Amino acid sequence: MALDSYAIGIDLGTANTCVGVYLDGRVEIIPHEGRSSMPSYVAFTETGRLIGAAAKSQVGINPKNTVFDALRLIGRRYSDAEVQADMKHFPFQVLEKKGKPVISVEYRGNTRHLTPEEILSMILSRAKKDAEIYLGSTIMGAVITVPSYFNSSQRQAIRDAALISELPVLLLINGPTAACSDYVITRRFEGERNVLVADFGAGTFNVVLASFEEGILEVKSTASDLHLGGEDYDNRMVNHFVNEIKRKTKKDLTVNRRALRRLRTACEAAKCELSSRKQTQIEIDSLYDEFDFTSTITRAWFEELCQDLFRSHLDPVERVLRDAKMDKSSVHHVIVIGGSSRIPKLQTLLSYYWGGKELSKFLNPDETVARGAAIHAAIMSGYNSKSSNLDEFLLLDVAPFSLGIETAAGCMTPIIKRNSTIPIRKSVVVSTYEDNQTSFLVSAFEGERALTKYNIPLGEFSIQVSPAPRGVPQIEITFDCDRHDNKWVTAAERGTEKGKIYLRYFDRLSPEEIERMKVEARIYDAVDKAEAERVSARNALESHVYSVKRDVSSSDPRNASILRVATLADILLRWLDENQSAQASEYLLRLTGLREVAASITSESIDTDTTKVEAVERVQMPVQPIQAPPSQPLKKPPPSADTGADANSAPINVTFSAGNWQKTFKDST
Amino acid sequence: MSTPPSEDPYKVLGVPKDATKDTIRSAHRKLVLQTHPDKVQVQDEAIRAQKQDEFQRVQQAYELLIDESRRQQYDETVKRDEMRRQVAEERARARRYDHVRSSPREF
Repeated sequence: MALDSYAIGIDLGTANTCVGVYLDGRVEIIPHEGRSSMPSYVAFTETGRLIGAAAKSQVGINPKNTVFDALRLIGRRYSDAEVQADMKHFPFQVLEKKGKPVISVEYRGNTRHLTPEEILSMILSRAKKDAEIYLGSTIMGAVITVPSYFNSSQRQAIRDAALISELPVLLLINGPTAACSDYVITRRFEGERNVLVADFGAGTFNVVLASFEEGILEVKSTASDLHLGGEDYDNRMVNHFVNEIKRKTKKDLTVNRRALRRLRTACEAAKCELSSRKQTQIEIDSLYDEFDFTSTITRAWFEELCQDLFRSHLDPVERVLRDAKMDKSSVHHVIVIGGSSRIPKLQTLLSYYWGGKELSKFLNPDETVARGAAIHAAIMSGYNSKSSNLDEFLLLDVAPFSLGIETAAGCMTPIIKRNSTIPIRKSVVVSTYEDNQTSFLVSAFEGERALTKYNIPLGEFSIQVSPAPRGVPQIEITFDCDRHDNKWVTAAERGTEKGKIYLRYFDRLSPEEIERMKVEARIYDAVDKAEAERVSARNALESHVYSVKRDVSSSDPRNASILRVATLADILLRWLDENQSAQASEYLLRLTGLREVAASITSESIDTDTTKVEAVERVQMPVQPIQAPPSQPLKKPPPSADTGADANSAPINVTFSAGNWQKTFKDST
Repeated sequence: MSTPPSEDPYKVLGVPKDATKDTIRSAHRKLVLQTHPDKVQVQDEAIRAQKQDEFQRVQQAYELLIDESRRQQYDETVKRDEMRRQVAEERARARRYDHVRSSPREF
């Protein structure tokens, strides 16, 4: 069934992004350069911008301008402990701008400061483009998954990123919830099923408990541990080895950042290997000062080292069960997703907790989140093919955090409790705490902490109240939270007009900024397109030159005209070598020239001199350079613009302008 | 800070007072499929808002009735209120009767 426009599901991950689409009753994963997922990398170079696999593959030669892990920065403040900690590991530079982190990169010779929103918008627009090419039609919107611990600010920042990339967001859902949807829909269960999803992320551990019956997936509760994940195991190993080296060689590795990074990479690789093998080696040549580091580690040793970390995974599991008022025996399926779910000890730990229950594994654990998102995209876009049972499917999602207001002495008074099914509206009646108060300040916060200063501020406004002794005025405050993370607060004294605000996080991008970024995103795209055209023009010329050379080599070398073509081909080849970054028009000009010369020979005209000179002259007609992008503010002219050519300058560096081409051509014949 | 529902949850879900969990579930299922914002494919904001309110009422009623202890508590409250109301009514009737008897001038 072909549609004009599709809705896609995007698993926007810290390391990898995976895209799925629901087609004819099943989900297909959209390939990115032949692979099922795209590295969440964006790179900036002298000539342009690379997104995905191409960006990741050149990270070694361009570490300062290759951006990854933007998801760790998005929606956070520069001063956040997480940002400060992450920055230490980033090879690219993170700066502060209006309290938010921005990434500084060199792009076409200019320094540019990009927000994490812009980086993610590039990844999203690449995902959209891959999908457009794969499906051969436009994309109407996307369901994007986010880590379940994301707060309003981070979720809003993802929406902003999508706005910049001009991809309408149909819905944001939590990754584990998407995986759960994929699981229950593809298995088509009968009767009530309680499903627990454990998402072992790189830095966090998230658990979702949901109940599924007759097409309705009701999220019961969620819980997270924000400092428990694969990286913590790596850190354990790194610390262990640092101490060991210190003990044995009296060297302090912590002062050598490069050595530390190499040790960390090796530990991470060893950890992954221990999931399938019982024992592995860590070998790092000349870790520092000619010291080669080797160590053999066993799975048992690793499990012992991280035992307490592994154990603490059970806390969030117990918390979701408690929050949902559910006994562990009533959980039918335990699903594990995420990278660290491959660690055998974690699997046995969970399995043991459920008395030896077998965990449900996916055939493709890396795709399941995108699959779930694609299913939701199909539902949200209203596209349901008859063969599917999506019509009957409904997700009842919950608010991931409590929403509340600040009351006396900076206390947080939750109004909408976390794990409440959304959409939801709830009211409370509060009163003043001073005599004759004339205005009342409503400050809204999000979070679970008892004091508002530890929670996230969402917005504030004040309303008029009529003077009265404290505790007398009745002020009704209503929180409203819809399916799309929009939140409103209304407040008013009973019987008066209401004040209403739409809650937006204080640090959000302004509409003007988003507009500007949108325009810049189009410029980046145009530059990329021009660059792609340039490269393809260059390739066309190069392959034509080689094919001419091949043809010529099989012909009579004594024929003068053939000799000339051969020489011309050689000249062009040399020119190509020296002008890797000429304009597309220059390549095309020479391509046409070569074609005409070659064509005149194949027609076997004997009077070669006249015809060819004519042809060559025609080739040298000045061609307007292709003015592809409206990108002047962004781009520096490439080093060999056609204006800089001069017949008198040194031939090796000179651009191949019309004049000296003819000259060289005649000289060499 | 849970305020008791002003509406009869049984009425909202359209189930009898002695409904089983299964009945409640299927009633809930039917109603949320009609009212959840994901399923309401209309552009009209007013209709959407109205449906959303309806969804919330259904959801609240469902959450109350599916939780055995809350349901029991609710039933008892209703029963007690009902009894209080009856007692009050009887008293009021008695008082009216008193009043009638104590004002012979009406005759």
